[in-house]
Amino acid sequence: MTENARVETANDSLETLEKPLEQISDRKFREVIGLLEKARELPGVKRVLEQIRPRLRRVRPPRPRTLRRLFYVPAEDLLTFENSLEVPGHVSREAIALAWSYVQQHGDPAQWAVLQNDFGPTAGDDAAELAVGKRLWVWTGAILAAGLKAAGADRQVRRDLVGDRSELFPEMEAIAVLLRFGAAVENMKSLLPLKPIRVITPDHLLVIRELIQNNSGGNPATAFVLAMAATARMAVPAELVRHISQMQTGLSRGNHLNLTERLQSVTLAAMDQAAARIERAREGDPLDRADAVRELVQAVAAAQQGFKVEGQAKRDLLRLRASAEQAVLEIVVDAGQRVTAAIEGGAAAPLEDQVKAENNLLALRKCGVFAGAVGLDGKVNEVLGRVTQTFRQRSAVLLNGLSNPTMAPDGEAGAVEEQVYWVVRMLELAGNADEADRVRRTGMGLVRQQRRPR
Amino acid sequence: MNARQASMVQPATLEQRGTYVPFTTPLLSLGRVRTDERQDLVLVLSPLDDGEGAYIVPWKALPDLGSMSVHDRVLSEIIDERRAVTPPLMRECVLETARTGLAGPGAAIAARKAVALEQRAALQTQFAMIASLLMALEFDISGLLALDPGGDAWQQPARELLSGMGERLGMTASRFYARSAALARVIAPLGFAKGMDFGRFRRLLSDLTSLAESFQCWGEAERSGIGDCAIEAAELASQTALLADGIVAQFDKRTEDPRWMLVDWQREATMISAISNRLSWLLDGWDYIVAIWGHVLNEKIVAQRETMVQLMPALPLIPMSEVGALSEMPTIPSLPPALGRVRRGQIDIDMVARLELSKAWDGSK
Repeated sequence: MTENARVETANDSLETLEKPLEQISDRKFREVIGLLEKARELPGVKRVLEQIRPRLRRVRPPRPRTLRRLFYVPAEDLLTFENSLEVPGHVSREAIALAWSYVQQHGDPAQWAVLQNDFGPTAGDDAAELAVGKRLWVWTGAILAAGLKAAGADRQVRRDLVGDRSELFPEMEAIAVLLRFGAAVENMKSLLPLKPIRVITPDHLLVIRELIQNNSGGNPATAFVLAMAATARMAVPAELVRHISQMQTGLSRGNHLNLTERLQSVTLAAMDQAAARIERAREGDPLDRADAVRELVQAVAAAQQGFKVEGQAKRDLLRLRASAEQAVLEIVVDAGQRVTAAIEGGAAAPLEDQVKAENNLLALRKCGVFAGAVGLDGKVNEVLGRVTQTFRQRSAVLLNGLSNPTMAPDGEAGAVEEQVYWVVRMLELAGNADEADRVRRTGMGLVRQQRRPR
Repeated sequence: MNARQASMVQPATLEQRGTYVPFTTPLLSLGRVRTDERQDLVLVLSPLDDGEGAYIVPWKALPDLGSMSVHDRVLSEIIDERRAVTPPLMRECVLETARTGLAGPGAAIAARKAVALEQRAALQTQFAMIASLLMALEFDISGLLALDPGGDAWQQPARELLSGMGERLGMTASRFYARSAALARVIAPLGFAKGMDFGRFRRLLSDLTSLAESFQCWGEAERSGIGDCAIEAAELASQTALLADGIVAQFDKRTEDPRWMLVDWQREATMISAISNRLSWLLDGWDYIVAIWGHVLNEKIVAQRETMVQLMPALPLIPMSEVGALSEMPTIPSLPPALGRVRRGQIDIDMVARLELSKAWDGSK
């Protein structure tokens, strides 16, 4: 077996591992996690760990508070498991780990001891911990910045900083900025709602403007990192980028344009990745798929509304709009077909098929909320209308059969009742709760009549 | 003292707290039903945002609040018909509604399974009671054990044993059997302390302890203000579990000797039933919180935070009448104002799905 084939096989096995991991007991789960953490460097393992992180949080006691964790805090929203080149504007875990080891080695041991000593008693006291954090960030940010400055002329410093990974320099510079302005970044977080922020208000924009204006010192690279720290808290980063392009950032006109272009470019790249992920996950859960498509559609709509792009970027945006439309169409058509196919089985279908039919119907409804942003609300309504019509026909047949004793539907009374409830449920999921309830009342009234001894 | 003044929010009694109604319409979710001073049914809804007090909605006015799911229309009708203001009656209404499939096929299957389990639990409890009596009365059952239970050859010696036991306790075999069946029905929700299969309240109590642990861990790892709320919720869950442990101890003492129970069976059944009812009132609502939290733990952190915010104002507070056994005042978790729950009139597909999934929860994980 070639190395590539081995890696592919490992990835395949890991993909099949995610689902069972959700189902095993907590004790077994802890054991598997222990094994996975030992194999963290293998391809795909980090992704699996990321996937199961929510359960991991519950099952594993909180990690001990350490200065290292505190060091990571200003950068936490921008951290990614992926290769940072694939997620522009973000910081890879590899880069921040290197930054940590650099500041540990180059910081004054006495100062480290003082910080460690002051950090210990802050357990449970957020304000005291933040005070230590502020000192830690400013101090380590300066060490890192000095190292980065010296690295241009000193090969040994370069090696100390990133080893042979020179492509990590831009991330190291971003980390230095985040550390230097760690207090300001944390202040911004405390003034904004929890992420992801779905609606950006003028108050939020004021907080973000102050972060960039008061700390960038007119430097577009610094402004970019701070703006990225803010966009990472948004549900639709493109929406904030659109606002930032019209914001008084305190940069010169040229630098402001430069900042806007960089932010737009990074946002478009992230949207491109989102589109690719949607494409790859075609067979996944339709509701998750609808959520992912919604994010893409909202991002495309925000970008089209506010990005001033030319040339390649403009073409990229048009391509993304086409991808978003295509993704919506695929869900709508696919869900419509699957729901129609499920009607035959009805209440008698196996549980899994019934759940799939319901999820597809709900995915269709979800698309109805955002499809208008790419001009496809008509298509969603058309498909929803078609499946609703099929449910109506089904309910009419059932009610007709029940009202005419000689034509009573086949099967036991319980089975007839199940069929009525099934069609009621589907009519409701298709967005017609009142109509569904009328069918329920009529149907159950007829079922009761049927049961009366004649 | 917590930000929410105890006098404003803490119910005086379990009955005043009301019985949790597992509606699936987000607007009505986590509400409680009770009667008002005119004995009419009302739904008590927790306050919006960081408001204090509660909204009291006349039952008949529920449809006016907004579009209800068909499941909720059916459930509200059944509750109204049966005046289901106690947890046991509510459970019957909830299972009956869920069996229709109007909260999804998973909920329907879980409801059928729950009914079957309850029936089996009553039988198992009766068998456990008889087995324990056989030992206490020193009957020799080695011959019976060698036979196929329920088979023809088994039935005759089994009947003889029952007659023998009834005689020793001063009653006929059929009376003995009927009394043991009646007692088993009231004991089954908890089951015997040494039983093989714990009753559902014991399972819930164990889940509640795990929930407290989970809230605590989650709260410690969560750096936003919601983390502190989760820790308070963990404290409330622990205090409730502590009170419930006390009730379970009373129950276990009462059911220790099956001979005594069978002789004075009416009085014992009433006492046992009262203890069991009190436990069902105390734990009421926690089963859904366990289920909702169990589901959301496999979702993204954002969904977990949203759920914690949703649950917080609706956690079952410990009423003043129950605080006696606690060494300190019960916790009243509250959210910082900025994180207050927002009730939306529109249908939130994800929230409805989450509420429906809680009905499909079998707690097996």
